[in-house]
Amino acid sequence: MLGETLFDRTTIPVLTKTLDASMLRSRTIANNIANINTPGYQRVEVNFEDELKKALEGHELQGMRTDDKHLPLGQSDISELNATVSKPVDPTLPSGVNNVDIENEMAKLAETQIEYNFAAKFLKGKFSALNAAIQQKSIQ
Amino acid sequence: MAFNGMFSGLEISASGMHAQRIMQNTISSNLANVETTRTEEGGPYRRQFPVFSAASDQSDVSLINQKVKLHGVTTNENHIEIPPTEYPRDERFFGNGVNVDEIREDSRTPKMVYDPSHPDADKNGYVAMPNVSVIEEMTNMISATRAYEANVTAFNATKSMLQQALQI
Repeated sequence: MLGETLFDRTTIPVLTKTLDASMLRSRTIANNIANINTPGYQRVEVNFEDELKKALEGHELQGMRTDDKHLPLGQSDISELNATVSKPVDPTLPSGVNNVDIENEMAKLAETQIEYNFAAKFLKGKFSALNAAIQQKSIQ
Repeated sequence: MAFNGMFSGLEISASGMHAQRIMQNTISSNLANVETTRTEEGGPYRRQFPVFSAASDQSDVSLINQKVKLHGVTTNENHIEIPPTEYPRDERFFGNGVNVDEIREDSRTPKMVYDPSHPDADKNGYVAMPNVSVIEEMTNMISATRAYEANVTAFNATKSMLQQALQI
């Protein structure tokens, strides 16, 4: 399959997942910031990097799945990778107290924005390289 | 209201800005009425404040808390990992910004000020003044302004990310 060699086996799926996760993270940060003065609000966090690391490392033994009811064995594929949201519990804070830290959220927001821009630029570069190859041009 | 589309990040920030603007409006009203002794309900003006709540459907909360059905635990590095078999239906559902539930009246008792010449003074010469503390309102105003600005920053960040996506 042409699509497989051109897209699936490249870094494009990873970049796409990174874009997805960054956008999701910026939404959770926006939600945390919107609720900065809401009594009892618990901040939401996105978990992605650890899952991505596991998916990229691969595993020596990988189970084949020929049926939906089969248990996945070994690490999951990049295409099945999903960013998840969780509400982390800070043991130093009493429960039920708003745990949004504005400095932390703003720092994460800047970080996420840069991460997203990086992935978007990188992806754009990938596509223009492919385009250049198709049209026998040099990359500008 | 479920914000689940492309622009949900913007809508979440907008709900935050809206809430802080309501906060500013009530503060302005409190400051404007800091010496109002007559109201429609009778008695002095009472301090008003908005009550915020995190907007999310019940289903959202259950999705976040929903546990994975089957999950292998690796206690040894030679163990083969069994990834979770069932993720929440849509883990992207986590909250929809902030709601302004209601505008409440502060139940603190009015301040009694001795001013016998005031037309609303009681027989001992005391006037019931609004339970508004100017200093408290000013601090709340700073907090609301900064929170509003934080929401604007988040809004602009999401906006520039969306514009980046259009550049791909």
